[in-house]
Amino acid sequence: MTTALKPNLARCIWTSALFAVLAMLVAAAVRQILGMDPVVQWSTLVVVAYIFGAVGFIVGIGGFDYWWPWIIGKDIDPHDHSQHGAYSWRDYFKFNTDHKVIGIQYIVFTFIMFLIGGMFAMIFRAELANPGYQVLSDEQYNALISQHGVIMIFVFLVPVFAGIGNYVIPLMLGAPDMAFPRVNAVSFWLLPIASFTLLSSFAFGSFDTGWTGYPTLSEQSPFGGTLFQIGVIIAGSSSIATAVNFLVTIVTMRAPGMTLFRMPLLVWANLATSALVVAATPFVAGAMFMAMFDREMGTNFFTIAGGGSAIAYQHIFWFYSHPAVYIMVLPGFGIISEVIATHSRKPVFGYRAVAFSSAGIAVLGFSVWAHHMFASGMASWLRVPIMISTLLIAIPTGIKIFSWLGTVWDGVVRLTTANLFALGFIIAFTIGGLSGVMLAVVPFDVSITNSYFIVAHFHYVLFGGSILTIFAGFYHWFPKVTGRMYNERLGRLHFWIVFIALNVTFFPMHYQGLMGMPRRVADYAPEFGWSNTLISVASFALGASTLIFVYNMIHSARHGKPAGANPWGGLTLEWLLSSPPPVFNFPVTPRVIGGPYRFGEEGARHAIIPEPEPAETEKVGA
Amino acid sequence: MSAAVEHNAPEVQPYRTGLNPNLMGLIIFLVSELALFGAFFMYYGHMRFIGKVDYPGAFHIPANETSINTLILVLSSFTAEFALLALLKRHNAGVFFSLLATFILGSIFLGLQVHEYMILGFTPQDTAVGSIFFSLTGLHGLHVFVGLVLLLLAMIRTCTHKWTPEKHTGLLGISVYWHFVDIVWVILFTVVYCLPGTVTAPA
Amino acid sequence: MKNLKVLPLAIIGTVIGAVISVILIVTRTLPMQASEQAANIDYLYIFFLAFSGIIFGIVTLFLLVGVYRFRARPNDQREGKNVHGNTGLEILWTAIPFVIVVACVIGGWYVLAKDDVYAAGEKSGQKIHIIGYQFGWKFDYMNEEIALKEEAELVVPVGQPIAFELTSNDVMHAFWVPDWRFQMSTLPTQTNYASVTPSKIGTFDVVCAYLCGVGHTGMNSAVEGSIIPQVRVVSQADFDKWVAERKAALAQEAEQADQTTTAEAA
Ligand code: HEA
Ligand code: HEA
Ligand code: CUA
Ligand SMILES: [Cu+2]
Repeated sequence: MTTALKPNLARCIWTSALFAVLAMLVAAAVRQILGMDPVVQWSTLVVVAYIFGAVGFIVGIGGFDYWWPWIIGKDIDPHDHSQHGAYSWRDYFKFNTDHKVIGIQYIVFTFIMFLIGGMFAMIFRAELANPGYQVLSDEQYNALISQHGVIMIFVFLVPVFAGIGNYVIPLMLGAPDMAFPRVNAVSFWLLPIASFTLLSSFAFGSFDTGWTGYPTLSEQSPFGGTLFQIGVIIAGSSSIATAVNFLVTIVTMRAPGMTLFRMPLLVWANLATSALVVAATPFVAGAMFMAMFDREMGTNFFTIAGGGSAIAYQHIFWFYSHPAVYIMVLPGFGIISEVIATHSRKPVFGYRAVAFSSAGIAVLGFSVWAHHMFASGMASWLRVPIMISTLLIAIPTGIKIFSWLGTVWDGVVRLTTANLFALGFIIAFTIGGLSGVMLAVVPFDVSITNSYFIVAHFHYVLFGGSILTIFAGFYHWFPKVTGRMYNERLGRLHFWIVFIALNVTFFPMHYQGLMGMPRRVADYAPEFGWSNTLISVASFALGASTLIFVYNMIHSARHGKPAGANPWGGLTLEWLLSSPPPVFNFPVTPRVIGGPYRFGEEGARHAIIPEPEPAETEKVGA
Repeated sequence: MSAAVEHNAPEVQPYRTGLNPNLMGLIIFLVSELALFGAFFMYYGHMRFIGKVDYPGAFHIPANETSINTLILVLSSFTAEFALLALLKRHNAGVFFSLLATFILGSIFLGLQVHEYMILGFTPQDTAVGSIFFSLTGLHGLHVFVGLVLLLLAMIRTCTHKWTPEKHTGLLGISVYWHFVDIVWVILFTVVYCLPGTVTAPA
Repeated sequence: MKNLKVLPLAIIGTVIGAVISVILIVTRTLPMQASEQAANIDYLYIFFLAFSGIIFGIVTLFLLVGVYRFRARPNDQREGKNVHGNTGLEILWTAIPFVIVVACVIGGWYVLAKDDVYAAGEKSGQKIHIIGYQFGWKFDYMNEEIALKEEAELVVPVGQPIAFELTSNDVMHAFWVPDWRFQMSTLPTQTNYASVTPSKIGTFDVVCAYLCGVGHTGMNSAVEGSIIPQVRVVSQADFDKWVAERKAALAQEAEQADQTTTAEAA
């Protein structure tokens, strides 16, 4: 009985049900009062139920348990850490304020979403393996690619970086936690809701608009389309909350001595990313709100009948979604800087250039959104300025790529799995970036836009870029998080399968696109038959490689060799702690005394943890 | 167990930036709120200034009547500030009544807004400009509503005598939020109600 | 001194990259160049392949050689060189991409400006209104005042600029003829303008490039079983003949319609 009242998942069930039902009743009552007809309109009620069910879920999990007593003036102990830290596996299913627990919650949850999104890709690749229709109908095909895109982007790629950042950034800064631990927990718990909303749209006919959800097609799609919009809004709120948290943490929680230019580059990358999230994500929420009002309330933002403007949606959507692609890759750049420097035993070449280029990309990223609309019939004077700003982004990105090469040069390169992924990333991302540069040039883009060339481009930057950085990061911090080493041989096997299969899967797509194969089709001209068979086979290998990874992680977390505090010889602060780090991170405030990458300097250190009093050490170890 | 946990929590002094993290978080959050309004303003600009689409039935937006409403909201920004001044004088009742005044002014604003909705000659369903007019003002109204709820909560906490001149970030935050809502309204009022070309002369 | 080692490698990288470029260029597969604009766009593509191959070659070579030369031996406890940067190099690798970017801008802008034949098409060529619908195209010949029914084929004369106006009845589509290197979306709430000059006689596939619902896959004349006709480019004489035939057919239809109405009235 008491478990149903304490903040936990059991309480969530009844609170979200309660909120949902109450909200539905209120909505019906309002409709009755306003004299709307019919009073019980189920689509409105389901929308209301979802939104307030989400609030109820947060209430149930304990998101407001702290604030309410505060308001009514109860004494709040700021040092109450009863919801902090994980002492058993159950603590991972609770509202937990420890950034390390939240980081793991994020990573594991989003990775499951990756498997689901990847599973969808496997299914539709089976459909595409041969010309003609094999396993899916057109509706099912459209639903699956849309879900694939949305899940990969909104509930995997964006939040997984928030997860890695959550785990690592406070450690790197020498902070005990994030600035707002409770907000942090709430923003994690919004994610399962968003994912549930998105996936449950399958029960309502799903949505078939692609991840971009352009009207006026989105007005036609079944009720699932509304759930797509709600899901994206919830996921967006989650990432805004995290970004605010990161920004405040990075600005105010640095350990003494941690000047801006002593921050590890991962922190810099997240600073730029968070600024992007804060300024850009509300735009996608705005676009989704308007499209949802059109569907559910009969407004006329984008409709034909009401004189709306369909292209306005595209402008607002891409004003977010282009910066979003940098949201999806900048933290990855940060990871690469950490991994390459540590595993090549060399300071990052051109630290300031790498740090500033993140900021440069973030700023420029706001001025290029319309390159997704060259053939959409936007104002034609906008095309050349957008082309120029898009092309300019190649320069700061190039600075990063070359600086990483400079980091490898004259280093002592250890080919650990983490480093392999980082090095493989450089090659794959360069390919993706180069095709991006081609797409930026208006006449060329117009001749092939919406073809598989685009699919090739964005999988090279998303899979070959972001996903490889994520794997690099997973392998790099695995010993820190679990205290054990992963299996290096399985790791390398994973890398090589991924790297080869990735190229065999996505490279031929360039040629398909150039030859005239449009994207988002379940069937295609017979001439593309054999190349699609090849792609599908390679993509299955790509999917299978993930199973090796999952096995390696799970097995090694329990049976791997103990890793010790600092298996890689890293200099940044997190490696000064035991693995896994103590619940409250640092027993005493560390002091930062130098740059983060002082490899090759005799006896150089980035930071020191002053000797704590002996009694305290004991307890921390216990 | 939790006792041991509490004991272990170390006091970590962060790098001195002299910034109040809560206030900073709020301001960053408000930046993103501004961006949300920005999305709607972007649409409004696209339709009205680039597309030159008129209000449904060339309707005349009641700018004069609404300027009274604007005045009320601006006034409420001052009363919100009075609450902080009263707190510095440790005058708890002053805090409460300033908040109450703000709350009442805010409610009047919201009431007048709803009244305007009812006398307008069009609905959100009438053409794209009708939709964006209601969405912009409605989004702002929603923020006023949230502000009212926050004011109510602040009044509750005021009754418990918990704010002190040294520690009142919550109160400060609410007043910053209220100013933000006010500023957004001033922008909205200028763009939607006052900018030349947007107000159609009465026929 | 360091640069001395780097320079030969950079040259080798450029050479290898150039070889990659040449391979890419030689093995490039592109659809037929069936419009006057196609050639320029393909030159752009060749230019992209040229610098992309070289950039890729240099990046990959430095990576592989770097990893090989500086690899750690088993139980290697050495540390790398404590180098934090090199201003000269950094300026170099900012400047070279900048030059490439400028070249892309110039090339892209030039092709964009040169290939815009809308005004010419409006003045002396055909002006055709394309209406996308779920799931097919309708064509209006504005000069000839022919409005084709649904599911008709698009017939255009060779060698003349065509000015297209595009709209849609329902959702967004995109009218794409890969052989022409031509694509433009049809949006329901606005009219788009685009132009192309077909340069080859023959039939070419028409693809709907933007997801428009369940029939999107089938809105592609290259897909087996599709009911979308290909576009047919014909000589001027054939085109005139076709126009005359269409007009006659339209007149006849109108007459028939007239007759039925009069018959009904009687
Ligand atoms: C992680 C995500 C990510 C990243 C990083 C990028 C990076 C870039 N993207 Fe991409 N893009 C997407 C994800 C991403 N993109 C997605 C998801 C879509 C499709 C959305 C949809 O429609 O569904 C898309 C679509 C897309 C389009 C629209 C295509 C269309 O729909 O018609 C364009 C056009 O300009 C473009 C351009 C670019 C450019 C110029 C970059 C640049 O930032 C790349 C810069 C990098 C390099 C150039 C390589 C390294 C540099 C050097 C080695 C230096 C020397 C190089 C030169 C001087 C050239 N992208
Ligand atoms: C991060 C982003 C991301 C990632 C990682 C991927 C990964 C993959 N993508 Fe995806 N893709 C997108 C983002 C991404 N994609 C987006 C945004 C679109 C556009 C959607 C749109 O048009 O709107 C798209 C579209 C898209 C298309 C075009 C569809 C079309 O236009 O018709 C294709 C076609 O081949 C494709 C293929 C793949 C493949 C084979 C993978 C592989 O890498 C996947 C590998 C598979 C796995 C990693 C999972 C393996 C799991 C198992 C084998 C079983 C275990 C499972 C459980 C226990 C549940 N993707
Ligand atoms: Cu019509 Cu796709
Ligand atoms: Cu983009």
